[in-house]
Amino acid sequence: MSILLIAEHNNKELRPFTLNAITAASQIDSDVHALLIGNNCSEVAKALSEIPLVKKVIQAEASHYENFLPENFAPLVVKASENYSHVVSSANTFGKNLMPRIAALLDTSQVSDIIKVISPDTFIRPIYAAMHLQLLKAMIQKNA
Amino acid sequence: MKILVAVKRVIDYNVQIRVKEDGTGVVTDNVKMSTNPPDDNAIEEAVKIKEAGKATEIVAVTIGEEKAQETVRKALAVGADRGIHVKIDGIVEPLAVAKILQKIVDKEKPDLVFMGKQAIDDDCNQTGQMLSALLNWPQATFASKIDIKDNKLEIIREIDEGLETIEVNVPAVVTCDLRLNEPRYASLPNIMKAKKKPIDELSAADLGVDAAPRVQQIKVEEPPKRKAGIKVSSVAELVQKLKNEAKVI
Repeated sequence: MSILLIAEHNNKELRPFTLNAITAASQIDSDVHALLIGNNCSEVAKALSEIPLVKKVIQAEASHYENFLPENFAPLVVKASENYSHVVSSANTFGKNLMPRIAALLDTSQVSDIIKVISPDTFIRPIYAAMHLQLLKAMIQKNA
Repeated sequence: MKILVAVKRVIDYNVQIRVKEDGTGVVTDNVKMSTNPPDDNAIEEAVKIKEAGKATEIVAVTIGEEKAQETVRKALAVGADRGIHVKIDGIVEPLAVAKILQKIVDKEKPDLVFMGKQAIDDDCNQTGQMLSALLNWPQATFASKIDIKDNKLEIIREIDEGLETIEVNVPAVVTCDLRLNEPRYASLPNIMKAKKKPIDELSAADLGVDAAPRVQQIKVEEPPKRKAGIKVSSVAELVQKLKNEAKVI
């Protein structure tokens, strides 16, 4: 099934960490769709559409999306994620702020900070401030 | 204003963490445990707000095994008024913790929920955000400054690009950064007094929450060791190695 990737940007350009997330998402499934939420962000949509790994760009614009507030983003992402197996975003303060909110609304657990995709449901992530690595198997379908 | 503070018992931040030989987890036997450091900041902030006369009651809650109660006792010793201990064994995932906290919030009706921004053991950084979604409350994550203004909070957040100032309506969930404040030590008289403060004991089943894990931990391992470096005797050798061995130029 396809992967929904949430792009991080500043309404003008894409943030570089999103590219890491796109690559990781493509290792889960090659059909990566990018969801771009913002205000007056057509330039970002164009940049996203030029990335070979991104198969489709979905753009959502509204004035209340301008400041990337997770309270406003989450309901939209939940609705948009209906036909996707995984929801992926960058694991920086943008993703950390937003993704657990989405996971909770979808009633799924979230896998944070993955550093390797073993298979679509198995990931490696660091624990104890990256002193140790944890190999996880997610028994649910939607991951962050 | 009533504040609920969630605290977690984790391996002390000074302990050198060791992985079990069979890879099923990390060694916790005979290891010093303490309150998750950012949770200490959360308690401290709540106590400061109460001292400033802006809060009426602080309730400390923890979810975990029998001994997790120590973290609630510690919170009581630095200024919380009473405690709640939800007893549960084994790994409790952030989603389950958020669901349990949601039930506690329904019961206690606090105006604010404070907790650390992440636990230093599993580094998930999810619970506060999940709780705020379940309650449909605003969230203020990674807070490094909190100002209470009537029925609103002005919060400075630590984000990758620098600092972000947001305003949230009360009730709200706030997750605390280490930069928020300097947690105090509990004085001996206060530790003694804390022993008399009440702690309610509950179980996840009492609250009607299914806390079964959704994610399976397959194994825990040490990261690959970094290989020792080598010394080169000349620039020519360095260039040769970069070209032929490392293949970076």
